[in-house]
Amino acid sequence: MADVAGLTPCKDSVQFNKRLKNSVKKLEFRLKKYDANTPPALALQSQIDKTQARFSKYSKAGLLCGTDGLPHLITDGRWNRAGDFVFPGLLFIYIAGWIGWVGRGYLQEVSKTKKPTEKEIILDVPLALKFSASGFTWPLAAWQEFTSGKLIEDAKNITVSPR
Amino acid sequence: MDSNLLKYLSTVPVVGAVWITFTAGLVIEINRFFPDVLYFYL
Repeated sequence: MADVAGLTPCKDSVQFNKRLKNSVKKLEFRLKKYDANTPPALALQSQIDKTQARFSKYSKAGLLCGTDGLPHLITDGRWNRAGDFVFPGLLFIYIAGWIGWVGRGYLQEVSKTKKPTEKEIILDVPLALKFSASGFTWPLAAWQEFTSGKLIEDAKNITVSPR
Repeated sequence: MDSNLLKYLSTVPVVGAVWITFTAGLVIEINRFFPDVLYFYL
């Protein structure tokens, strides 16, 4: 696992641990200028705690570090690094699809009403909310519409330029 | 509620502003409780 593109696990990376030490040292240097328990001292102390928490979280997660001492995410789709990119990517597609799916549903619904254009400017909020709330099943709904032929228009209804 | 006010609140700029404010707040709160998210393992 460690042998991805010459990266080393962050917890074993010399440069990564040096970065941790340097960051904390800089903050402690600033901390010394203030009396204990004053607001700036407390703020700096909490920043030190956050820095240590971040570094320990990244090393425990098994992230891989380059020679720059920074974590590098592996985005080639290999399964044991799926949390670096594949899962966040799928989550993004899921949320983007949710938004797109409910927008499509709303537009198709209002196009059947008397004033479809007005309903795009002055939203029918209860109707829009109804669509938004049911949109979480969109991958299934889209598949269902695809297999039943509702998702895509017949080729004969698609306009083509004169030829 | 007055129907004109309701109509005003349903216009896209108003709904959009409310929605964007909500999303911004959500992202800020997520970052408060789960700071420095770099990866996503279940």
